[in-house]
Amino acid sequence: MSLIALVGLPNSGKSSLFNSLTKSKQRVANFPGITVEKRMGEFSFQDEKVDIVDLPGIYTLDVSTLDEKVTRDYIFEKIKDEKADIFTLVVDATNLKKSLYLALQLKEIGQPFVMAMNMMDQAQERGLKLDLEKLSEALGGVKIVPTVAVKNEGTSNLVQTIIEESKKQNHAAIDLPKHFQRQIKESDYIKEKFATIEKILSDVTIEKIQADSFTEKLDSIVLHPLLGPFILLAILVTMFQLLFTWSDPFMGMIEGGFESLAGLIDGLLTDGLFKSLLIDGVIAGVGGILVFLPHIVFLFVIIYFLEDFGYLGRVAFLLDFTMRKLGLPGKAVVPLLSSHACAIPGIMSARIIENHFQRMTTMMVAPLTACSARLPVYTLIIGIIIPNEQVLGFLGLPGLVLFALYTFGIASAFIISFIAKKSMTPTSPSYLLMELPPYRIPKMTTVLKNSLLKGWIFVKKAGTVILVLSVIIWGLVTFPKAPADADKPAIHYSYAASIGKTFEPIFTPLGFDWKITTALIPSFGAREVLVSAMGTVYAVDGDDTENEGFLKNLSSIMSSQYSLATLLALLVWFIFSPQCISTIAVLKKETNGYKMPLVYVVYSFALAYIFALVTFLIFS
Amino acid sequence: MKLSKSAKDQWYTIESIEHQNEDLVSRFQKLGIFPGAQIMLKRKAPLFKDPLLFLVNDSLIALTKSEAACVEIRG
Repeated sequence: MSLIALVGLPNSGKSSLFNSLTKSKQRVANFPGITVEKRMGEFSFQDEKVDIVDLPGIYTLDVSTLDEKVTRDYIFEKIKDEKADIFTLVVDATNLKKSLYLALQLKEIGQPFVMAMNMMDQAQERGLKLDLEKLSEALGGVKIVPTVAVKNEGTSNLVQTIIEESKKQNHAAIDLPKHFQRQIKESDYIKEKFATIEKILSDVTIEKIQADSFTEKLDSIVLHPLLGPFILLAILVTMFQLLFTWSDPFMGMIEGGFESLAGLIDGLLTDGLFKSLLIDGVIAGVGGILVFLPHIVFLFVIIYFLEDFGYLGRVAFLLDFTMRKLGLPGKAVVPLLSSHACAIPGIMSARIIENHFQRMTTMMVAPLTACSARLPVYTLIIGIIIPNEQVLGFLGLPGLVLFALYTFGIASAFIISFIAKKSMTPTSPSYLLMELPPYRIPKMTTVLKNSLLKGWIFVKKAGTVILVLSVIIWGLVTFPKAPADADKPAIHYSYAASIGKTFEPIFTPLGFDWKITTALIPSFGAREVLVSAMGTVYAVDGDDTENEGFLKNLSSIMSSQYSLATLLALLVWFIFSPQCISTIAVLKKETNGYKMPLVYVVYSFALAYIFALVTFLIFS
Repeated sequence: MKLSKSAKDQWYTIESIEHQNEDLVSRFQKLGIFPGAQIMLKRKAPLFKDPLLFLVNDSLIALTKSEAACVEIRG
């Protein structure tokens, strides 16, 4: 069995090579003890099983970010992971200088490697002619294989070479030159290395590469002083729209699937606790979250597409100044925007932010933006308290209030991040300082494959937590059972109701009675459940929340039971309060610990309580 | 002269990088910004003219104005 480890600069095409080789057999895991993901895969080559690992991109062995440290530690065997005998250095043929810098460093520490000279087609199109034999000589006999990873050209030749070369190696620990770690930081060392590279390149270049006119032209439009911001706005709005329109039919299918499953179980089992557990606990809980899976997958389709195309870096460039003033980097616009669909993919996409402090801040404030599951709650309460009138003759008042709620959400996210920036000293200073890659047309199969993988990670990692919590919530609503002569809905006798009553005094200042606090409990499973839970508490006829009659009945009951102040406080509560358990589960997964989810719960509870209280006091 | 003050589409040679933060200096270096390298301002971001986009070692590098101010250049 052979093991291939891919190293190289960011955007050198490592991932394309990885995808070309592994086809479908891929898996993602975290590196031991940290949240940095490693992608592994396997394939068979001439009846031999080959394992492959894709290491995070590095420019040099002098590393700074968490991702880069992983690669360095893998090279120096500080990570307790099986290490490949020989590395595969993936090089972007259209930008050789910096790749050669890394190559020289690997040589220096005595790490054997094979060089995949990738993107050869583009380099040749731009007129590059290289003497690869001479280059191999200059690097001390390193084997060089030209490849076009996205078109799967040269890859089997590459694998053949890697396997042959690795059989020649006997695994020896790296011999680190003394003072190496300090030396590679010194400018004399860097100067000397680049001088060597210039010399090598002038020796091996037969025809020089032409400038990348495609990137140049596109940048003159995309980063145009006037057009640029409008194009960005148009892309963000389209992205948001696509997210909803693409996801919609799939969400319908998932919903339908779970409904039929529930129907099937309903027919198969006799009424009882087990049936209720399956239908009201497992299927309702897990189904309620899986319905957002299309959002997650499609968001990542869009993100990976924009990233592979090279636009995501431009987003950061365009928005960095404005966002930085608010304590967030330009890239944070992606997680914040996608949180409007669902906070879970939003939090997951915060990975594109390198700076630890800013990434944490982004994840903490992302749930403040109004996710789509809150829409039914907002609609219900707005329907009760806001008259359906027209403003200025054409704008509906309910729609305006809804828009205000969305604005309020995003504004509070910015205010909190601004406060965080001002009040806390970030552990690491934040930089922009980034390379904008040349534009490249992404390979859609790769984009789709990676997005599905993201979706799968969510199902696997968050799914188990959600399953357990859904069952717990079901238990709270179901037990103890109502007495035989019960004259009130069963939920009145449950633990949820006892908890609701116990916590009622805490929420009385906000104008919430025990019925609202009881309905708040299942809404931690999924926000929109508040609507059906209120229906359950008041035993409103018809449990179909889509049914207009149901909503009308519930609205009339709630408007007679609660004052305007209470309903407004409830609305405000939903803007800030700790969001669904899945959000918290994903926070735990993404931060690799309980600290940040706990911080989130405490701070959002405090915010929700204070703002709901103020709202209640103002309006009562 | 400071890199942040450089004129568009004109090559400069980097003289030195002045910053106490070692981490920042090493980040500069790994992107190819080190004494002796050639650098050219390509674009300024819309609206606020910050960040700036430079061409160095065949790559486009984005720097905030304050980051660019740490780099000393000569024409």
